[in-house]
Amino acid sequence: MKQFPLASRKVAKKYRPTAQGRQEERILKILTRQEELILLTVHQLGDESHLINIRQYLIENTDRDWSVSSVYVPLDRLAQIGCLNERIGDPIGKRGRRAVKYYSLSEEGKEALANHRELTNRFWEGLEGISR
Amino acid sequence: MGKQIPAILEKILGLFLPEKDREYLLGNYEYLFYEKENESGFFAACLWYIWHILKTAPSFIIHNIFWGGVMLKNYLKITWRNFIRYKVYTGLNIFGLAIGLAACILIFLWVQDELSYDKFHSRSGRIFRTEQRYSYTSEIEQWPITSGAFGPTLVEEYPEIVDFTRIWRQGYRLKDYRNMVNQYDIVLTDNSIFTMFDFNLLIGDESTALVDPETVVMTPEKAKLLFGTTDIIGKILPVEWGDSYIDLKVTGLLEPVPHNSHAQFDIVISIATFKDGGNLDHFKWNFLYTYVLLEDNANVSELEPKLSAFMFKHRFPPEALKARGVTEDNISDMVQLKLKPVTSIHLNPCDEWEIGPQGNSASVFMFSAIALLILLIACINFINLSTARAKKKAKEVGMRKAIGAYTHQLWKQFLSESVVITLISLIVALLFVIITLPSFNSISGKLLSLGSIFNLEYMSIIIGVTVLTGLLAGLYPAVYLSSFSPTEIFRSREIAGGGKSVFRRYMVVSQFVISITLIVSTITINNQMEYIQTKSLGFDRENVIVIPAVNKTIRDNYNSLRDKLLSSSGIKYVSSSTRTPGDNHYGDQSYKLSNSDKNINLTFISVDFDFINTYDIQLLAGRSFSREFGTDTTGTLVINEAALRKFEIPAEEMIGSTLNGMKVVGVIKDFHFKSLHKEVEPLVLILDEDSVDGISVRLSSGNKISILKEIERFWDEVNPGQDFRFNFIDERLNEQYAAEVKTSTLFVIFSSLSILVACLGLFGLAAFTTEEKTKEIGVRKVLGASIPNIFLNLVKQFTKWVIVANLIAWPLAYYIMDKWLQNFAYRTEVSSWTFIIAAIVALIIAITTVSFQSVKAALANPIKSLKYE
Repeated sequence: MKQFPLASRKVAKKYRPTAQGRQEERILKILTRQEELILLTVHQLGDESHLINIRQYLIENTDRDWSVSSVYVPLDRLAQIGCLNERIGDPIGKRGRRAVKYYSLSEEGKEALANHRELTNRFWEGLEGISR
Repeated sequence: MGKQIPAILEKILGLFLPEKDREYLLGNYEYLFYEKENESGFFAACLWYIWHILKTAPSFIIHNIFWGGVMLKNYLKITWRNFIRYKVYTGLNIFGLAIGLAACILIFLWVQDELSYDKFHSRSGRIFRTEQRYSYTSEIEQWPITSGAFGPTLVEEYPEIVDFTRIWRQGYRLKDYRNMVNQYDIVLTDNSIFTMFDFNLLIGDESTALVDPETVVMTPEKAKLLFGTTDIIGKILPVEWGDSYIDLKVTGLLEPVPHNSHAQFDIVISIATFKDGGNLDHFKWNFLYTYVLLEDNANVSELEPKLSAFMFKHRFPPEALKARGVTEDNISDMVQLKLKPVTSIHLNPCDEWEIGPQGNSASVFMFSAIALLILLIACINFINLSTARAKKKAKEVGMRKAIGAYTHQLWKQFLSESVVITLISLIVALLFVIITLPSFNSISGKLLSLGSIFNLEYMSIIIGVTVLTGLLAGLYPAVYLSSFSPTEIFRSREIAGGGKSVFRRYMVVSQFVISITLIVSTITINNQMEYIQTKSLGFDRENVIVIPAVNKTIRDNYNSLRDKLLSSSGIKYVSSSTRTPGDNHYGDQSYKLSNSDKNINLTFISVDFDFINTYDIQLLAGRSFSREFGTDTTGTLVINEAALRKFEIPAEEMIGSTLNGMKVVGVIKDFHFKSLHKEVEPLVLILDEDSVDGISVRLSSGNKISILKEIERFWDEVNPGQDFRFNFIDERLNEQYAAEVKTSTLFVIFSSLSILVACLGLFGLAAFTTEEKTKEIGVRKVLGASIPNIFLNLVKQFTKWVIVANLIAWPLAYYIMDKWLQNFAYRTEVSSWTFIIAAIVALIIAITTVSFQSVKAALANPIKSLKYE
């Protein structure tokens, strides 16, 4: 088979998934705190879970300011690795004319949350009595 | 609840977002916008939105450039592979385009040069030349020449006119440092030539150099010739002035006049030198050119009508008009002083008395048209060859579309391919230009240099035009090829219209229309050139030499020279006259016929007895001047047919009557004493033995060289120390058409080039058509078709197109050439055989071009052509 010329090989290399990315794909169990919260928010919001609502919910419940990108970036990554299903809504927003993207928990997402919880519980062993 | 997002902002942002995510990302932004609006108002929300657009832009641009580059690299690679794969067609394309572009570049340079005349003066927009215009007779006359008092008087009487320069062209005999006396072409001017125009002195004071009488400046070249050195300031230059010499003081070294100045000169004498003769302070004789400098904001169209009054006041009293029988009231239109911008003199010169050989706006227009036509033909080639290749490209297009290429991406690909080809052709074309520029210069008589191409302005124009050509030429193939549907391409192998496109047929036909029109024009122009150079002029132009009598010694010794010459057996006649055929400028005067009150303006030449015999002019009635009639010397004249027609009386009545007191003894047939651009004017020949300006000698048709040697020997005996110079009259006459000959040579060259380019295209097209028919030919041969049969079959198609092209081109060519011939008073017809020749030439060219491929195809072994599937 013919080899790619050097130039195109470089381009191909640059856009191949990184080593880290591939590992995450395989394990996909360990979630960050942000991701955990976002997954749980999506679950809580149900059918109404789009970026704006998710952010709103997070701000209200954590008493902290979440920037748009601090929500969007993990959200997008979770969708990429399959923990979230995406769905483009119909363009009938309350005031707007445009559609937004809605998210819902996938089976993989639920599994990831379950794993996460189990992992956390394991780490918490012996500290069950602690409270605020 | 607030206002909606301004739609324009959403549009802009939409442009920057990737298409697949655009909709919901805009949705998100919309939500955030309304949130912002609730918090801090509509205006702040808009600002926030704009800020986000700006934030998105850089990544969008970088993204686009990067992927654009990646795709472009791919396009270029495919282009390159196509080049390698179809070497012949790419070669034809590039070669054809290169020839077209090279021709265009040369013509562009030529036209630019023609248009650049006199633009180098920093005040060029304010400098005008005064021209007298008379229209009280049926003919309108406009002269560039004026008399010496025009300039000073204009400045005095019209505040709009700030300054003036007079230029007077003369031939003077100068004595150089070796004491040799030769005639030089000299101008006499005011010192303002350095302040008004941008002519400069290399050494010397521009504000005073030509103020004093008897001062002279010259170019380094002439300084070398006259002094042997360029260190000439303060030296003395003797000039022959009447019978003696006067000494001119050199006050400066003139910078050579730019070649694109309509007035060319290299030795300049102050016009004040002439003051003593009293020749400058009147309005009578017209002999010099007056240039005026207008005020900064002067309005020429307002000033010009006011100048009629000036003409009536000084030059031409209204009573004089009335005396000439003009009774109309609007006499101010009949005598005018026109102001011609100095920049338009070169391309719109006056018919007569022009300061030097000038250009022609018609040929500028004609050559620009040819340049465009050649480029058009080259573009058509490109389009044809590209669409002919459609079949081979179809699969590539199908594959790209199947993978997901947008139509506009395919457009980009094909356009970039054609632009690359045109840019390569441009490089080849520049090489052609570099190689051919010296010969182009010698043909066109220009001094174009390579430096004039390689400057930023011209280069950007040339590259711009080239890229535009590439885009135009690539547009049709791009639209055509990208319109293929991938399913069609992969399902069947036939591309609809790929083989015989109607469009392509039109293209080839239009190419041939252009070529045939050019062939007809070329032949007609050559015919006309031939015609005016060989037309019977009413006198015998062979074997006549003219010796100019440039000074008094020669004039005084004329009689003894004539007697000596006539003693030789090689010389038939000798005569003297004030003018000889081929001269440009003639005097004219009003003549009054006895027994009638008719006053008619006639051109006159003073001649001696043998003038009519020397030139072998035919007599119509009466007799020629003769020494046998002693009374002839007391005032007799001969008129020509044209003059006879003006007086409207029969020849018999004319002979014996008197004009201005001089007796008419004969009427001669018209002969062309001026160039054939004009009709023969009414002329009188006045017998005057004392006016010797030119000596005409008719040689017998023997060994010319020995006769000329003999004449030179006589000359040296009679006029010792004077150089013997002469012209053959027929050579001199041909010089009148030098400009036309130049133009027609260029025309022939460029039209041949355009035909060559058209042939290249046809060759490529024939190759494709034949290739597509390979299998058909194979089958035909197997079934028993003969080789000539197949050959004819292939050639037939192209022949049909050429014939159609002929039918379209003929009326077109006839119309254009008929228009062109109107420029000449004496002209040939656009003859019918011209069209037949053009048709045959076009057919031969087409058939020969196509034959190469056809013969190859017809001779091929059918096994080979049927084997591959």
